[in-house]
Formats: sequence, C-alpha cells, structure tokens
Amino acid sequence: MDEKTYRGVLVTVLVLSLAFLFVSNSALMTGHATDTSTTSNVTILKYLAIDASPALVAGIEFGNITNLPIANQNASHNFDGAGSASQYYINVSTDSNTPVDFCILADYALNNTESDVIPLANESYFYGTTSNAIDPAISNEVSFTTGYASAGTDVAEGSTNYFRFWLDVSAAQPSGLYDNTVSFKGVTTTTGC
Amino acid sequence: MKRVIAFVFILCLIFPLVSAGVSVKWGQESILVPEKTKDCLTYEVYNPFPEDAYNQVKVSEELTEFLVSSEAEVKFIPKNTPSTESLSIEFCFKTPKVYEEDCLIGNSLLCKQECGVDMVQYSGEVEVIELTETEASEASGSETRMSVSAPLNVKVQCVPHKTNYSAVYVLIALIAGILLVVNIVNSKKGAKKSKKKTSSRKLKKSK
Repeated sequence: MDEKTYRGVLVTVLVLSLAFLFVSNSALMTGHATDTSTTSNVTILKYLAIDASPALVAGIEFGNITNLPIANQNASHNFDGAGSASQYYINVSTDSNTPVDFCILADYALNNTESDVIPLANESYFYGTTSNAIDPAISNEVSFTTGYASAGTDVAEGSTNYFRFWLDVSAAQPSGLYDNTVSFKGVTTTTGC
Repeated sequence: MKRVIAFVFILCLIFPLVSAGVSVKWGQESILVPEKTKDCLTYEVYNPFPEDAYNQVKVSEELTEFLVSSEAEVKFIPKNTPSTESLSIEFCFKTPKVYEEDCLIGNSLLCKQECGVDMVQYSGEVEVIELTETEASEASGSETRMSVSAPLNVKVQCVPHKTNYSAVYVLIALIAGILLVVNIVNSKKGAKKSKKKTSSRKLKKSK
C-alpha cells in the first residue's frame, strides 16, 4: 500500500470513528433524558393523630399478687371508669382524615431481674370501641405476641379504642417484680400491622 | 447517638406521665428512583392535643441502609398544632445498584440493560414514637409505648439502555490518529534525509 492510500485509510477510520461517537452519544443523550424522569405514584393526602389515656400512659399494672395460682388477674384500671368502663383507652383525634387500625405487641415476656419469666401466653388483652362492665370481654382475650397483632380496626376519627388486660400466673412462679413493655401503634386502616 | 439518648432521658424526666399524643401526615408513600440515584420524601407531624410533644421520627430497619439523610430524629411539636400547620420532615434515600447489566467485556464495559426483570421494591414505614415513658412501677406489669406509622416504599427504576460503544470508537479514533501522526512525522523525517543526501551529492559533484 502506498503512503497516500495508507493515510487516506487512517483519515477515513478517524473520521468515521468520531462520527459514530457523535451519533451514538447524541442518541444516548436523548434516550436518557426521557428514561430518567422520576415519577411519583401517590397523590392522596392522609393524616392521623392518636393519644392515650393517663391510665395507659402510666402503664399496665397487675398489682401485688399474693395467692397463686391465679387466672385472669385484672389490670388495675380494667373496670374503674364510669359505668365500670376501662380506663385504658386511645383516642383517635378528630383532626384525622382516616380511620385507624391499632396494632399491639409486647417486646418480651414479663420477667424479673433474676431472669424468671411469666410466659407471654399468660398476658392477654382485648379491645373494643365501647366499654362497659362486660366489654371488652375476657371471653375474647388474646395472648400477647412479640410481633404486632391487630388490636382494633377501622376506629373512626373522634372515636375511642378501649383495652382490657389480664394475667395468668402459675403456682410455681417465683416471687418478684416482673415487667416488660407493651407497644401500641396506629396505622391508617387496611395498611395492616 | 449518646446525645439523643441523653436528650430523650431528660425529656422523659420532664414529661413523665403526660400523653401528648402522636401524629403523622403524608401525601406520598412511594418514590420511583433510578438505580444509584438520590431522591427524597417528605412526611409531616402535627399535634392537635393540648400538651407540647416530643416525638421520635424514624424509618424502619428495612430502609435504613438506603437512608442518606434525615432532618430529625427527635422533633418538638408545640401543642395545638393542627394538621393544616404540620411540620415537615424530609427523608432522602440513595438507591443501590440492583439490576444486572449484560456486558461484553467484564462487568462494566460495553454493557446493555434490557430490564426484563420485575421492579425491585423496598417496603418499610416511617414511625413517629411518643417520647413519654411510664414510671418504674412497684407492681408487676407492663410499661407502654405509643406510635403511629405511615407506609414508605422505595421502588428502584430500571433504566434500559443499549450497549454503549463510545469507548471503542474513541479507542479506534485514537489509534488511527496516532498512526497518522507517526506516518506524517516519519515521512517528513524521510523527506529531510533525502533532501540532505541530494544536497551533499550536489556539493561533492561541484567540488
């Protein structure tokens, strides 16, 4: 190949490469501009607010138990409201725009500093939007779990969700001060716990 | 972190048994973000109740690894703050690289993305927790803790693209350019040499 042809080939290759580079990148630029636009897919505004009764904020106490075994020991404020209603409740504020589902869990079983444990299955609760001498009824009691479980659904804005709590203690349970933490969570209805 | 815990502890001492309530407000619970991109979501808190509130706002564990910034861990919300005057809290996320590319060389050269797989989504929640702890009881029982939560989904968008041959074009152009320059330089050198030879011959002849 003579020198002139060789140079001609090199120049052609150089020009073609640069042309391909320009064309491919201008095409990529256009494509990316379209593809990377971010979209959102929810536009509905939701808001909810809840607050707990003073008795619930103070904690769920089962008092001093002196006779074992005992079944269904009532928490101290289960029946001391007006008309024997429970004093354990959570209000859904009227400044909400969605009904609320309530979820409940215990972080661990009641235990003392000596690592004695009252099984989680022995601590139970039930709930309802009305409360009187019967409801929330012990016949519906549900044992606590360490994962969130439903504790009231579709509680409307301005309404109240009442709770009652019970404890079973076996005869073999060592004496001591047992505690744990119970968490309540409000979510917009149908979201699930 | 220690400061936050100390702050929470002091708040619990100041407000031991007052339920100030918890609230959350949101207008968007999902974001669609391309891979390795940062985007933010805003949630709001308010306090329609007659007590000032200190609330802890946090993102659930499923999403913390992608959280790059959060405006507040503990938020003070004055009493009687209605939902119409709610306070904003922004959470920013950077999505990871989740979709595998089809590359001609190694894992990162001459790659294309066809996006034939299902969209990857990370689901979690924003939880607003009331910072009111119960007093240590002298009887057996349970302390209580209250919160509200709102769903939060981070969807990772797959951006399809064809193989980018730019690097190949640049390389070919570079090689062609270098060969051209070398060729031009060599031919100039050759021309100079032949010029010198001719002039020296002429000089000899004249002598």
